[in-house]
Amino acid sequence: MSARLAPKTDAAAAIRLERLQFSWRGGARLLDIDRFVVARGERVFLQGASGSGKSTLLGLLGGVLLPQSGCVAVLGSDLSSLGGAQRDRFRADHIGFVFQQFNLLPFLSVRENVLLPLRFSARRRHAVLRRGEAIAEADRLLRALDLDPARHAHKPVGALSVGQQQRVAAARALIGDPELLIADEPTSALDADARGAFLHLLFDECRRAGATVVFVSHDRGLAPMFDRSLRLADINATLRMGTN
Amino acid sequence: MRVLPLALKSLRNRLGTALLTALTIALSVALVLGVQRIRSEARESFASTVSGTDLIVGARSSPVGLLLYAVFHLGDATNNVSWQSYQDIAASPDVAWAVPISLGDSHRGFRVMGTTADFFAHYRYGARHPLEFSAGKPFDDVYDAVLGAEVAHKLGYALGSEIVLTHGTGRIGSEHKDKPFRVVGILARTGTPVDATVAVGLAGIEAIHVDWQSGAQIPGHTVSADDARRMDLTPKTITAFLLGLKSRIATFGVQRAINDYDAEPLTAILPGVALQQLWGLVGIAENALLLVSGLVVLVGLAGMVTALTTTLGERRREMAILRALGAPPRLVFGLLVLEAGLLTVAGAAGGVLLMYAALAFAQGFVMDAFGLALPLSPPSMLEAALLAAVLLAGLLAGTIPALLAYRRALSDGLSLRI
Amino acid sequence: MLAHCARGLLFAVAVLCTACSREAPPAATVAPAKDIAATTAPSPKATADGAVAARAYAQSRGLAPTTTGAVAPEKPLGDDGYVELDWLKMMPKEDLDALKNPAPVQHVGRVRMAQFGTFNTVAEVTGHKIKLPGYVVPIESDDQGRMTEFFFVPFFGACIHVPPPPPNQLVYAKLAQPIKTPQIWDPYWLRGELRVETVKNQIAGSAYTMVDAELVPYDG
Repeated sequence: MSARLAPKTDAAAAIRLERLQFSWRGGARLLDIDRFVVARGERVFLQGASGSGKSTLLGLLGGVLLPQSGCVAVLGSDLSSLGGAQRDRFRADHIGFVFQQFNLLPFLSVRENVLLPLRFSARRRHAVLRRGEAIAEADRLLRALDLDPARHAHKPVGALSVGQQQRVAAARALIGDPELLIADEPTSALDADARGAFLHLLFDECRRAGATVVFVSHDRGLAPMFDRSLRLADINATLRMGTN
Repeated sequence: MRVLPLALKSLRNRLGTALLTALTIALSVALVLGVQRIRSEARESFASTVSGTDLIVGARSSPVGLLLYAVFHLGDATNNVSWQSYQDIAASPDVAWAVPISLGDSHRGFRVMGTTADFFAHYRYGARHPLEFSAGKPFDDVYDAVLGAEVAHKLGYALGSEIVLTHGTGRIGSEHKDKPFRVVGILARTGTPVDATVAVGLAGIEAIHVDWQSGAQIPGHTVSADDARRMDLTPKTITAFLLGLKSRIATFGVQRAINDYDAEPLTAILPGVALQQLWGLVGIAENALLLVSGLVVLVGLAGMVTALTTTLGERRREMAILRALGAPPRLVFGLLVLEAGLLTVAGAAGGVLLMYAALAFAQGFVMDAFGLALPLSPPSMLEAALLAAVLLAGLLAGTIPALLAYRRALSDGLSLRI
Repeated sequence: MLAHCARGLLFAVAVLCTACSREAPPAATVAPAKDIAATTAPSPKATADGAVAARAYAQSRGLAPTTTGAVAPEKPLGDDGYVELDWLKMMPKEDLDALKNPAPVQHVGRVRMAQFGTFNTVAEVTGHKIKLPGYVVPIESDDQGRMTEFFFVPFFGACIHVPPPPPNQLVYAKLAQPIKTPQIWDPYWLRGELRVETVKNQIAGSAYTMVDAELVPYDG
């Protein structure tokens, strides 16, 4: 495995999947994607039912999983050509994740959770420090997501509502300006009112940071808020052919 | 060091389990350290009990038995030594000094030793330290007594106090009430069985038994204290005697001559040799004890491994989050090993504290019961090595749940499987 | 099942105890020259002091208690810079001759042999670095129970029918640094320089001493 980064194939694309094929060990082929490109700064809504392989796709995008064949290029870097440690570093430096629930480490406070990515990425740490104190930046993000730092910063995670926890997760995903935000059903645990508010706050901050958003959910109702919306079945050949 | 704050906070989040685990380890560490300490203190204390005495002589018995009752006042003699034999041997040209000892009475649980004033001149301990008086002087009159430091301290006696001796070495028995003794001297603390001894003159022992037949005082045939004083109080038998020779080289020859003494069956021992024989006997039990206490530590660590492993299931989400943030799998491994290490360190530290607490608590009792001093000295090299070994074992034990978590982290990916 | 486990455990414990127990080595083979006849028929007075008997013997043979010459050590320098010394070389020639007519050791009855030997020493073995194989008899220790003075003897645990080592077959040694008291049944090398010192007793005599002695476990 080459230790160098693969030459940038397309500097403009945030994500570029080509002839991607993935199956779990010993299982049937789960993903067969001919081509999928996301431009930088684009906000993409990806709809898929549970079990359709959307979580697996996110794992591939994050460099946690490797495809059997095909190309996964994120921000110009071909992830399959990177070693495990390099992929971990890449993920830490460039990608922020928000999951459906239980995003936060229960033994850290709200502020400590938000600051967590800075422990793992020097690049994001410097991005923050260039602007000022790390804690100040964390508080700014919390405020942007409608959480008052003075009241919440030191609280244990368990003292927050689900909606508040999701917003903390979003702040954590965005600290240090990662280029790509990947969200896996982040609003599914929220009620209707909270859902809308969350998305507005999230998009405001993403726009300000210039981040690309890949948002996976089963709720079609959210699609209009995005630049582009598609179903997983549109790009995944195995679903189209019904071979899952 | 990224992982240390995470490990600390993680343990604090599960404080109850963490404290219980650390406590288990602490108890086992206290046990192994305590056993080791008592063992080495006992050896040191025993080995420095008597010094400068070339031979100890008593009725024919095992060398270890003679050492135990003559010096440590543990156990009883099987037979006595006749006064003639003692005088005969003491008069030998090779002998520089001889101190007779007579045992068999007690005072409120402390042994009474009949001897001569020479005892205070010739008995040495440790690096040839002589006995010192913290108050008063050696006995002079028939009914004078000199107390060891512990006796005076525990029973609250001072110069001039009156004490009554009890027949036999048990805690209760017939008392020699009509012949009380007066305290004329108190010895400074020595850390030897002398501290728990009441010393009186040989004449005093004779005096209190002068009207006793077969272990009982017959009413109507008693002799008053003053009358007894005027009688001839030369003893007929003694229990043992200490010998100092003019030349050390003659030790073996004199020992052999005493062992071959025709008139009476006697045993002469070199205190150093008898002590080594004692350790030889005790050694097997000591090794067994150390082995068991080592196993107890392993059990404590096994408990820690169990505690850490059972929490792995509920911490799967934590690991997935860390992976999503870009933590390498080895960080997951390191986190768990570090948690195990921190628990072991806390347990070891707690164990040391527990041991010292127990030591401080039991010091007085052990001194009274066994004449053994347990000072609160800092950990020895061996004890430090034992602690290091426990720490290493804890870290190694931590690799078991750490490996499990490592492999799961690799296979789980970002899946939400809880 | 439980009984089987208990038996197995008992067996294991028994094996452990046997393995750990220190068995004293069998009586060291004493050089034949050391079998000695009792000097006088034991009477209560005479047997009360074996050393006096030894001295009586020396006087009866007309031996003056002074140092005499003897055979110089022959063994080559060991690789640790110490010459190995044979115990017998520490006895003057007269003593060795006297030992040439020994009575057989009788392993029956109460007949035991009083200590024989003289307070005569040999000058040749003193003053240079030697090493002797033998056993330690601890005499003095310090406040921590570590050994500071000891006798060094050629054999250990001999049967009661054989006399203890004569005065010129033992070394009264003092250590520069106290050491953990060694086991009395373990063989050691005693290394250092022998000295001769006058012995304070009735008849002027001398015996071997060593200051700054060093003990090394015996490895064969």
